[in-house]
Amino acid sequence: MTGSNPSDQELPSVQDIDRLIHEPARLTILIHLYVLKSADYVFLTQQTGLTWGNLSAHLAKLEEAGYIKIEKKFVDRRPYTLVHLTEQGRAAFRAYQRQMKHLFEELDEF
Amino acid sequence: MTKPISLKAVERKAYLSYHKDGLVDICLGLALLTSFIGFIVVALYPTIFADVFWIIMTAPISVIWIWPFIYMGAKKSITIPRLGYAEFSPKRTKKTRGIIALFFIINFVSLFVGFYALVSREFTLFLVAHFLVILGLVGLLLFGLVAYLSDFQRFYVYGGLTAITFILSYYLNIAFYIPILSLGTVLLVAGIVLLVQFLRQYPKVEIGDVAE
Repeated sequence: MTGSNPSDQELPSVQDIDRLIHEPARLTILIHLYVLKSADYVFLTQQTGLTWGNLSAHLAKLEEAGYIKIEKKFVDRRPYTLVHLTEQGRAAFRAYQRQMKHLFEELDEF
Repeated sequence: MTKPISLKAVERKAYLSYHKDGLVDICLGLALLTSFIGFIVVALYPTIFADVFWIIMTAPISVIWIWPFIYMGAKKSITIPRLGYAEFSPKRTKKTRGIIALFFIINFVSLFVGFYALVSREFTLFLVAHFLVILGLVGLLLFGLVAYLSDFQRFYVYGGLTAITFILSYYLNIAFYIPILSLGTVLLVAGIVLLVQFLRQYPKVEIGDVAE
């Protein structure tokens, strides 16, 4: 780092926040997937309060980024479309958690 | 003011929503009521089996071997089509396995106690004399353990209710099947109320309902 002004050093941490996770609906989805092993679309709509269309759109973005994996699986001979967090997604969520914590800890009263 | 997000609370809420269908209460209530009917039949027609043998063995066997299958079937046809399917964290799975193991332990201990009661007259007399107190305390312990492992707060109430009902029956000299009948009825009614609330809150999800 070459910047001498402390505010210059703080700015990159705000800029680095993962915008894909920072969106409230996607953050809600990721929070649920972080604490569960996997869940189907119906369970996620019920838990997050998102509509089917919203959920599908956000899941597609998260899948594209490699944060989640959507798989068809047979459980007791019944097919389910299960969503689970990938290792990359888990790491990204943890990093986001640390970043946000750090950011608000560093913010002083004004 | 916005509440801070607790990951533990999110996981707990997801898990509990999966179990607020009342099915476990209904199955336990029906298991107790089945045992009650079994005891009445034995009392009316005492034939091959000694009463103590039936008293000790009927309840756990009916709980262990029949009702879990009915419970799992009901879960698949009632809960999952409405609430969806989820696999919980390994920590939660471990706790659930602990509960299953607990029920198997009860079953084997009950079988052992039942057989021992058949061969030891002194033990049989002790059981007959203190049967209700023993059942009350065992019920309190079991419901308490299940409540602790599963986070089902209402099970603490069931535990307290079991202890009070059985111990009161012991001191008031009430026939042993009356507390079983009362407890079975309470569990069944509570389960039905929860199930009705669940069905109202979560109507069956059809693909057409959710697709936009």
